[in-house]
Amino acid sequence: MTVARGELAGSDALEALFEGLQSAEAVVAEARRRAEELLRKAREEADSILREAERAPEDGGAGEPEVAAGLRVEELLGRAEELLRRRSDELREVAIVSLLRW
Amino acid sequence: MASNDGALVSTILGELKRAADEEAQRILAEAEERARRIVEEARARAEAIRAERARLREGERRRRLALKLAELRAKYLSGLYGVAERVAGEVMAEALEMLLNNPEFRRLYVENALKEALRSLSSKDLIIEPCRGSEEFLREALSSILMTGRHPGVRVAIEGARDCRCGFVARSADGHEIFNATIEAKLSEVKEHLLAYAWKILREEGLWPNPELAGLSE
Repeated sequence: MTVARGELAGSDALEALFEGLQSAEAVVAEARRRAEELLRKAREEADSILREAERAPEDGGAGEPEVAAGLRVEELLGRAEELLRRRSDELREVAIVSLLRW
Repeated sequence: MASNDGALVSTILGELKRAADEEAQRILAEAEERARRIVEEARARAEAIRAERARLREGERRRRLALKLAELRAKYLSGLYGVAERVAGEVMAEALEMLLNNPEFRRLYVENALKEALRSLSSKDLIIEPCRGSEEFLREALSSILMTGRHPGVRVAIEGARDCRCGFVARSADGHEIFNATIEAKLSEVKEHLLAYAWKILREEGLWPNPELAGLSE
């Protein structure tokens, strides 16, 4: 829609048309600028979304179950020893009988 | 400018403005749609990345837990064996003291051992070396057993005392057979019985062989 201003000089109507054309071009140009801005912002947001996803936290609770199970092992061993000592009379009887039996 | 020309120009200008506005709206609408798609696609990709990372993390967590569980089970079983061994050792020491401090137990030990020795050894000529302190029990038991007539033709020579705590060592005169009835030799057999009994107790209480190691789910 570009028109050389010199070609229309001297004509009010053409002057008005020329200005109208320029105005229309400006409207479209502004729309294109806003569209570019929209797309730029969208790409920025997309990049940010992807970066955030890549930065997702590592396993936060790592180690806790292992620690709990480690403590459980100690607890069970303690229980086992307590149990065997509580039943040491039975064990002693087994030992005596074994000693005397051939 | 003539009025007709003016009207035409106004119409053209109006048309130009309308067309420009429409074009601007189309451009913006299209840009908005593309922008929306860009963000939506990014969100979908982000979701896929998160899901994949979560899947990898979960796999890694499971592998790590399985390894840890195996390691803890091994540690537990080794610890449990240590506990059983320790308690059995203490109980055995107490039982041994009880036996050694009780003459009736010592007499019974020697008598039972002698019966087994005479049953096991095929030779008729035997030599027995009693432990120090067991000589008297051995002579009494031997005389009592031989008097039953269950071992006809068996000749037993009792030799000097050995350095052991209770019992004796019997051997055939030709040296081909030997029966070690010292309490020291008997103890390893007793320990086996004690450990078997200890494992039985632990099994009854669910502490062996597969205890629940709470907190570690595979």
